Amino acid sequence: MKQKADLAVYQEETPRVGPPTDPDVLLDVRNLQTHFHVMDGTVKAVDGVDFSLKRGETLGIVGESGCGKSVTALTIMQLLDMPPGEIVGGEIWFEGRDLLTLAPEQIRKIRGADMAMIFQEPMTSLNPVFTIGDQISEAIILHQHVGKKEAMTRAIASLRAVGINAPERRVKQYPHEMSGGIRQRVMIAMALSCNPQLIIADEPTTALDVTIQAQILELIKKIQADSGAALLLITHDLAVVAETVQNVAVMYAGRVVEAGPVEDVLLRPQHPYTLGLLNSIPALHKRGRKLDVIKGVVPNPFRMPPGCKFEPRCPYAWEVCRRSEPDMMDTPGRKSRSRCFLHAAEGAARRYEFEKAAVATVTAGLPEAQA
Amino acid sequence: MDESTAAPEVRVVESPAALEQLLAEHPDYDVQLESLNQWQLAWRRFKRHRMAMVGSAMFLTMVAVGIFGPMIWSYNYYNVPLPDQFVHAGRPPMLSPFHPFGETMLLQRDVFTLVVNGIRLSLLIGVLATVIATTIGTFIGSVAGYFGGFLDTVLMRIVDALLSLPLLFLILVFSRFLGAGSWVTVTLIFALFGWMSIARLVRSVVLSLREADWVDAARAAGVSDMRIIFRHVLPNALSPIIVAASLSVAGVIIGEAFVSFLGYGVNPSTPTLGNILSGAQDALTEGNWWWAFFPGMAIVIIVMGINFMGDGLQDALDPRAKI
Amino acid sequence: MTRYIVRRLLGAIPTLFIVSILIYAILLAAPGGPTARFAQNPHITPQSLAAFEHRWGLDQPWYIQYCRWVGVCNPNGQGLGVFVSDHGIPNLLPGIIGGGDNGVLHLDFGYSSTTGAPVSDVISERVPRTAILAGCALVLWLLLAFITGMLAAVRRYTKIDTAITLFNYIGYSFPTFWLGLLLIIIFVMQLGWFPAGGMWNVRTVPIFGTGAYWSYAASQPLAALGDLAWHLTLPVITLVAVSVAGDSRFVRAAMIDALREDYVRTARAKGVPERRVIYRHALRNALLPVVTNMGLELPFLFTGAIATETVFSWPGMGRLFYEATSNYDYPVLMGILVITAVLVIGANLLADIIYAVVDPRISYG
Repeated sequence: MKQKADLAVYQEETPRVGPPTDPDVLLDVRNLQTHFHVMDGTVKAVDGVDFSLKRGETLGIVGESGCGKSVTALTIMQLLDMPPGEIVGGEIWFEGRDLLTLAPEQIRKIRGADMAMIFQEPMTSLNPVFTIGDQISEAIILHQHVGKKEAMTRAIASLRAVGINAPERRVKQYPHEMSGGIRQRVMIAMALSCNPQLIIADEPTTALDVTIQAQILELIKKIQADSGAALLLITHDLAVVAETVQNVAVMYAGRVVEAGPVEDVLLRPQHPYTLGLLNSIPALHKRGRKLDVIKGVVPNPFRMPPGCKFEPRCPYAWEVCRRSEPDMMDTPGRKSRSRCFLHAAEGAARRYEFEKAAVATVTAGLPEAQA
Repeated sequence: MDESTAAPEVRVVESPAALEQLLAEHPDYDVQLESLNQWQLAWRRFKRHRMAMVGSAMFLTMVAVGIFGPMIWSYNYYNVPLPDQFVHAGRPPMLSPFHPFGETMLLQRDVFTLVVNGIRLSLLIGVLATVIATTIGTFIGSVAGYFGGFLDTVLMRIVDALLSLPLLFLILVFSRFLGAGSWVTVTLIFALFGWMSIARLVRSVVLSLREADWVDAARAAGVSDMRIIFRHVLPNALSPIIVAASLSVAGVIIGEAFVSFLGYGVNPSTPTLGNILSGAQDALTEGNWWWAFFPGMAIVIIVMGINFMGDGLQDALDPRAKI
Repeated sequence: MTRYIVRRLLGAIPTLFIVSILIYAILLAAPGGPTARFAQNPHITPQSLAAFEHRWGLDQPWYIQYCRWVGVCNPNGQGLGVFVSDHGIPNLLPGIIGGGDNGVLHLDFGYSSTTGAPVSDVISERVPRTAILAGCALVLWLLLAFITGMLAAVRRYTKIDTAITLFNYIGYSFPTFWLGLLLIIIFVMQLGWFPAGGMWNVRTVPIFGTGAYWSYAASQPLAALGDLAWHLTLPVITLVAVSVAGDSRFVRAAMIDALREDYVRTARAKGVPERRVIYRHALRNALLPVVTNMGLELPFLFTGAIATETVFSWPGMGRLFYEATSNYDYPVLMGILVITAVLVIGANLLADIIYAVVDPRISYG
């Protein structure tokens, strides 16, 4: 029972927040919790995630596979299979409405029109029995209430916008007649077709060839800039994040552990997990040195550590981390926030060692440091 | 208590929830994770499959009835009723404690005795024919799939041809021509025409495994073809074979019942479930429904049990399934 | 597309060839051949037996007999001339353009050994009767399988799904003929709602298929149709109940698989209404395995017909098969086997072609 008292110090019950006060905020996710009920018990895939995204801005969510980043995206789009999934709590404010309180029909009208999603697997995400033109124009007809012919013209236009040659010919083709890269362009064209406010891209380049990855990423950046839509990019690849987004949220075991502007998070990491991720990037100029990996494995979802979820793998953990879980904390002198006791009063003494390691890692990662 | 001499007490828990509870009660316990092999995992999944357990219970009960029933209920069903006890339409069930399923028309045999003996023979035929058919099918399918080429083409054309004649037609013709025979003949006929779908199944699995790297490795190491097939490739095809075979038992039991029902199967004086039904058909006009009802119910229970079990096996053996 | 169909048709020829050899071999090897019925007759001399065998070509080597039965050889020919018809062109060509008129290829299955009537007449008299029964069953079967299967898939893990699944399991475990018996016990013996068997009321209605029947049907169409429906009900229920069970499960599984696909999620992400997701995006894909499976299951209509037609005394092909088996009527048996094999192979072919039409990934090249 003593434990519980300790917990109360750092973890308060979050009351309903209500709509964001800043009118510029397009998407505001508050304490989102998505659980999966499976045979062996309940997996808390998303367990209290907060972040917000302003109009026209870009946010990246990074983390290892299984950390809940894709589930977060699917929860926002409300595309989870329920059951086994269940949205247990939280708020998703999008354009002044809490998506979790809307009726399915209202959500449906938002999906595809105001927010669109690009998926990881272009090979399986297109319906094999319909032509590309059919699939793109379907959304246009549904949301913009235009005729078949007009929809097809717009579909061709959006295919041209994503750089597909001879779109008039392509619309009559079936997905199996195209390569993975072209299919992903088609998916992007489909997402673009109704001029959404928000584009969610879930690992859009992971399934593609390395040579294609850069092209698709460039394309996503370009269409985001051209259309002025906000972009939520989900990836495990820090390099992709560094190139594409303005803000970044690092997720671990179902929660955000560090969030802030991309240059702060990647160059001045404030959480041991982020530091571990940065350490494990292989780089040309680090050749010959041993590649650091984060020790241990992601905790068993049924047996989460009682304190900080990263504690069993954390080289800086001490006794308080085992007992209780840290909240998101401001970091001194930086814009990013971190879920780590190093930034609490009792961690101040240990922070120096961490900062030293962080500086070492980041400077080693910079090519000019070699010179 | 001398702790140094006492062997550590081992407690096995199977679910994380149970472990959680045990640790809450005894926080000082050591936890050791044990990894299960493929078959242990399958058995675990099977045990948790409610339908599979119900099906197994149904099937095993019938097997027990088939094995022990005739020993315990050794009623002499050849006795002829005394003239003063003769009831033309037979006696309905539950009138007499000695005839829980009633008596047949004509000879007034005990239906329960008939059913119990019928279950024994029908199960025997079903299982035996399936075992033989599965052996033939596995052999032909693996040879066709592994060697491919002309042999494969010929074998699969024969399978196509045999499958394009409804199985029952072939079995009926053969049963008729071989004469209302002993149950061994009938078993062999079902085995002879029951291997084709297993052969197709095994061939498709072997065909996909043939190109696997570890088969090439075995071949490079000089392992003989037959050994590769039977020691390396076939064990991987075991799961679908087991499922198909278990479902095939049900198919044979229904098929045999129908062939015997038409009077072309096992010698009519031998009580298989189909033979009993064959005799019962004419009695229906006399209102003697129990003669036809109980043997049919026995078939339904056996077949339903097998189907439940087969589905459970499928789920348990499917590696894509989650625990 | 045409090329694809032609290629598939040509591909079926070897299978048909093996089937014909199998059928011929089975019946050649079977005991109680065409001369069996003379064996016990003391008035039949060896001479007349030999004359009989010569008359029917039974003294020829087996391969000549087989070729004559198939229709490749002309029974009137000599030496290599056996392959040439009376009109001087290859015997296997159709009779209209001068080919032969004997053998299976020319729809000549010989004569029934029990009635002496041409087998083609015996069979063609029965075909419409079985077609009525099987046709009604097929329509109901497909309808029910799709409705229940899709309902269970869309509402999966609900009470409706459990109920349908349970019903399917029970139906799947029923032997067809016993279900027929059970229906007779309940609806004929106990309730007396339906006739015990037959296809028409023998007291009031003429034999089905005769001229008298058609004139009766023309004068009293409602009575004729009602009588037919009255006799059809129980056999159709019997035939449908068992086959629906299996297919409903199959449709459910195929639909659930399709609903789990990534492209269904894409469709939802586009904001497509759920009904449209199910009936357009998922169903169209679920149809592919279902069509193939149903093509493979069509033979069940024939096998099921034997059981149903014997239990309900329906005078169709199934019952004819039963009668022919009982009487050792080889020509009729062979005729039925050949026709069934052609139908089954045709059904598989049709399923493949429909598959190719529905799935754009299949190339016809």
